[in-house]
Amino acid sequence: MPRQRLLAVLLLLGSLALAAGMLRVAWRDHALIDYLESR
Amino acid sequence: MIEALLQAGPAAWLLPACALVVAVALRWTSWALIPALLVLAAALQVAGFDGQPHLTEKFDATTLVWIRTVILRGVAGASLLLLAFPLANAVARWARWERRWALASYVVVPVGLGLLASSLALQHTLRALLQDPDLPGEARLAALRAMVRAANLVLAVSAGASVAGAIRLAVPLVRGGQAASRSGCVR
Repeated sequence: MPRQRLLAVLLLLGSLALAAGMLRVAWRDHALIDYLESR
Repeated sequence: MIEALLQAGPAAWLLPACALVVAVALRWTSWALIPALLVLAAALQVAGFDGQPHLTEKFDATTLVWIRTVILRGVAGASLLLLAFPLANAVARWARWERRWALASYVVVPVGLGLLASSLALQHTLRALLQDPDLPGEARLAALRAMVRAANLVLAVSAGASVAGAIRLAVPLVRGGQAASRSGCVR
């Protein structure tokens, strides 16, 4: 079914977007440490 | 968890409240894919620090803003864990696909667990640092840095687990036909 192939694409893109969002959260935490160290 | 909700203020209630409304709506509507994706995006949005210094005239509030974000991250993670099945249900319903529990546990649960674990680990360290006022500033920063690294590793592992889960579910769908039928598609 075409919709299920679309679901596969959505799953892959969605999970990659979620992973990117989580890595962004991690990156921003690291940025706080850099900021505290620079003070 | 209740203590964290109370500490985080009114904003912390927004995500669970919206999520509850969405969860109820998802049960009956077929167009629920979009709100489901919005809930996921909102959870990640509130879980992340904005990365900007928050300087007031009297003091630097950056760390306080970050601590608030860490608490909200725990709320977002717990909300995603509670909503894993309704969210997966919305996506699966749209595609007329039956592997709802697999979608919830392989893709959404790792994200919720990662956010919650990261938040709890950081809160544990922050509490320990606050209870030891004699600790020198450098040792305090070193302890925080070590815990941020550990929490970031947890986030990276759970992000990887979510992507791996999505690939595991998507491959039979892409192959289609017999494989899709075995994976539980409704024809």
